[in-house]
Amino acid sequence: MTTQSEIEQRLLDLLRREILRGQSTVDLDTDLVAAGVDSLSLVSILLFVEREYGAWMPEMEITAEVLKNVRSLAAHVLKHLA
Amino acid sequence: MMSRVYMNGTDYMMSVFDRQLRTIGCSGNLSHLILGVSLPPDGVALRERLVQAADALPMLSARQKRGWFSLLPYWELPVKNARRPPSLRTVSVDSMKGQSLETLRAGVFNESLEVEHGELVRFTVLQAADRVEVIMTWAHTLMDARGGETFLAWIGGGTCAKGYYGTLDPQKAHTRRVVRSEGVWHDMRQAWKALRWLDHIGTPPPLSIYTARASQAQPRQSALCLSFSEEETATIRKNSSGLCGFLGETNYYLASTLVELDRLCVSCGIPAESYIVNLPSNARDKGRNEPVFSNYSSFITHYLRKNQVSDLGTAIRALQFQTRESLGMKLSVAFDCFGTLVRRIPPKPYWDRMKIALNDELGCMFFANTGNAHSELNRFLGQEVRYLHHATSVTCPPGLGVFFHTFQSRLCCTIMLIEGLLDEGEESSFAANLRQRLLHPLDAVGGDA
Repeated sequence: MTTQSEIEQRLLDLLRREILRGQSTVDLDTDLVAAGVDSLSLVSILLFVEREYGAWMPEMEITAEVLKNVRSLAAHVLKHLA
Repeated sequence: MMSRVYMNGTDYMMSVFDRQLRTIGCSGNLSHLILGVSLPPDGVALRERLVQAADALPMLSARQKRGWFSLLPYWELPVKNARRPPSLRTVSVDSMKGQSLETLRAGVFNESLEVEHGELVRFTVLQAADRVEVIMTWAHTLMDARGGETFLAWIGGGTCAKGYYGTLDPQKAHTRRVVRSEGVWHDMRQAWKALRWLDHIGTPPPLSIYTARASQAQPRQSALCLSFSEEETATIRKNSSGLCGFLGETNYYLASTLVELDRLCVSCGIPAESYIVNLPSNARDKGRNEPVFSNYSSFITHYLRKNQVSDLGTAIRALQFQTRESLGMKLSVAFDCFGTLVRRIPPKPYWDRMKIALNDELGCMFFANTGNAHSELNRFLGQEVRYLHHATSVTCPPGLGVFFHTFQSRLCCTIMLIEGLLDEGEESSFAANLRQRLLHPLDAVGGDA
């Protein structure tokens, strides 16, 4: 059973390793858009979720609220998997 | 001893474009940033800034060379006493001669830089009775729009890049690639993938306006600058978010532009069966805008068939699908590897190979969305900046470019065109329809998003 904290950790790992490389201060509460997540990064995140959890989240479902931080994004992924 | 800085693949591509444009009589591959200010900037202060810049940044008067053995293109940096500051001139509008700020500006767009003598940046101050414009022109091979904005902000007294430029080690700032190298065999496999991709999307081949109307083309570039008010920009953002989702502006602008380009081609009797666009993607670390003197970007290529540009909704869905496909296939990495390897090829065969892939075309148009302009460009040497426009040369083919950016919460768009390709009515109707499409996607003629 996938938990929210597990998704949060994997998303955090992806952001630190690939998308926001070099920004070691990224944590669960970092404002993702302010940190530099753009349209291409968002698609990379969606592709990662699809690869890891087998579910594609349409771009239209991603709102400013969802992308507020890793917590809200992970919560949305979990909701999508339910 | 002279030091050298190697170009990356995208830099070299820009220098090939420069060569091609000069060959056909255009002024070269140049970029321009236009600042509308209320009063003329202090000439002495500006000159002083340019001298300081030349002293601190030898790249500003570097010369293009190619290694004898490696065949790699590079910049040769001048020794300290051979550095020269970017040139500066002031031109006043003479209404008695029928001049206007727009005609003078068009003249600036079509004046070459002496790149071979190390003139890579030039400043022009245009003065009219009611308006003043500061235009920075630079060789596109030197840096991309993002780099240009940061450099201009620094010249205008901005502080954010001060520390960076002061400690800039040109070798470190330029020799790195857009993506990390994983070895030459990896690069070769990726480059092959990029070429196969071009061959794949080139069927059916695109047909640009330039190719269809080559006999009418003049070796001059013209720019039509559009601006939207803050209210209009908010409406466009709302439309984009409603149709393309959060952060979907670029898809919205591109889809709108392609739908309008198709309508333009139909009305001009140009039988285009497919539309191919290279979309540059900024390769700087996200959240940082390092002011490197380099074209620090890779590409994602979009291809839409005729039936995919018939309405906005279909075009948006096709672009979203292709963005996923391109990122999934790591095509931007493949294009970077291709660029890295082919730097050793002289410009002419490089140009020819690129055109062969798309049946003598380089695409149907150039497109870019550079997003928010540098925040320190709101003032220039103490003067308030009222507007900012980008204008970038387009190669022939395709002879058309549409570039978006946002300045002071206002969306701006520049349509660059080779003169003679469209008559005045066609050009203004394309611009008006694009504006209408962005503002009212559901009401625009033919719009059924």
